[in-house]
Amino acid sequence: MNPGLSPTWWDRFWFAEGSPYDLAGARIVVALQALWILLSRDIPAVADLPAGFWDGVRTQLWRFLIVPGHPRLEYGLQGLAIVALVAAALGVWTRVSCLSAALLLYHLGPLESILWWGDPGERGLELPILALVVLAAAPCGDVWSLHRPRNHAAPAGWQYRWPLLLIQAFYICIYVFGAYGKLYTSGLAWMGGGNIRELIWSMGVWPSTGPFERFGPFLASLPGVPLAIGVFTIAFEFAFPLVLFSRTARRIMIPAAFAFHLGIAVAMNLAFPNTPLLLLFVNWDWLRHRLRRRDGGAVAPPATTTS
Amino acid sequence: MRSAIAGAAVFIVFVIGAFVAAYSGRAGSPSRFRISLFLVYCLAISAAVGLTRRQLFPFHHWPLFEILLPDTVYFGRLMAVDSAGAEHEIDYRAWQPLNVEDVATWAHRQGGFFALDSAAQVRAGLYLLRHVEAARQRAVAGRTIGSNRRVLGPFAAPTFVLFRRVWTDPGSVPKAPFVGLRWVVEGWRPLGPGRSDNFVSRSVRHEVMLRR
Repeated sequence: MNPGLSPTWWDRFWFAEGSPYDLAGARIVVALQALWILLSRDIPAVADLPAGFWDGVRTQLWRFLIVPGHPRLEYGLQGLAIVALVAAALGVWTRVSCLSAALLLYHLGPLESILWWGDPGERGLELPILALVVLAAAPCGDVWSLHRPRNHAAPAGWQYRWPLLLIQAFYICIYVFGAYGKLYTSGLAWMGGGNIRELIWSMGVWPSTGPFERFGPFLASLPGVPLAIGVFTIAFEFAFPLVLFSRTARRIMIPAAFAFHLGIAVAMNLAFPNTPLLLLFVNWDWLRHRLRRRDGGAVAPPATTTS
Repeated sequence: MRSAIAGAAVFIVFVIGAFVAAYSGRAGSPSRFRISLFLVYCLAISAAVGLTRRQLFPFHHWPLFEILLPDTVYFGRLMAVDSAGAEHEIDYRAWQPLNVEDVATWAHRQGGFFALDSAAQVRAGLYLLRHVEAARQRAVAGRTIGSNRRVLGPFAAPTFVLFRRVWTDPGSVPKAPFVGLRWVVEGWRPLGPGRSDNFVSRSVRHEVMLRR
């Protein structure tokens, strides 16, 4: 469109044809992930903490429009967020539902952790907030929406491609900056066998961590395995952006990432609430085509065949 | 304050930028240029946050277990003290909607519990004490404790650190009421599972007592 300003590789990457089903799939995954987190916590109750708890984070509160001491208001806002997320998942008024869900989560999300860490990240809501803003600005309700007839089909188009890629890029930051942070903070020594062994054991000696007590120490006791885990972790995390460019990489690395998080959970008792967002990388259009064909239904071929 | 202003500004520009990009795309001649500007902004902020290790929620730098462990690891813990003076471990669910690791960390972080004046420390400590005592009473009565599973049950999202249940049945719950909270710092050497020399030291940092 702007040949002087947009290099062709940029256009080919961001503005190639994309499937409306893949973007709608991302919308459903993101909305359900946010609902899952929201319904698994009692975030509004935190607003009821007495004054002293908030002293260390006063300068951050205004940014999230947090006014402590009004849990009923927070429950009301949580109710609105749930309604907005259900609407987003169903593809109803996606501009309004996705944006209002994002803004409400931007307010509610930090309540869970800001007091303690002064840093409201890593609770499973940061990526949905980013993704919902992008989805609100994209035609993510063109298919798989209550607004559309059941057999409604939308042709592929570039407007479906860039929002999905951007959301996937946000997700990739987890691994790339996870690896970078390890080297930035600890250097190459982070992946040394001794450090990995001690990291695994440390989660075992912390009293009352559990429920997985045996697999981690067993793994850490095997000669060479901790070093292999350290090297693999850094290599895997730095290589993860390949999933944006290669179908083969997606087929290998997305299941590997699921296994990676499962392994961390049973070895170190650490769960990663953003794991379900790996479903953002599923080719929903292809899956829909396969399932419909297996059921004997007539269905148009996948809208796109991305690399 | 500067980080709060920067965080707010980055998020506001992100939201407005998304809609400028969207509406330009809905016009008769879609402008990929404006969308490209929005994409560059998102990628630049993500990279800046990740590379500089600064927090601009919801843009995040993902500090995931990036430490090099020292020889001795110190954990802050909160223990309950009952009316007979006995110390008890507290089930992680008793803290909900708070997270046990958050509470332990809050005590030691800048601007946290130990930065409060003594009157505020007593107020905050008593609030937490009453909170876990109420959970103890429910657990003794055989009622459910913890709020995280109240809607989704076993399908609720886990917290980042997984804990085992200390109060597995009413019989395992301390019978005497909790009358105090004790902040302790324990030093552990991660030398291997089940070794007696793992434990290094224990010191009581603070106590909040309802009555003796």
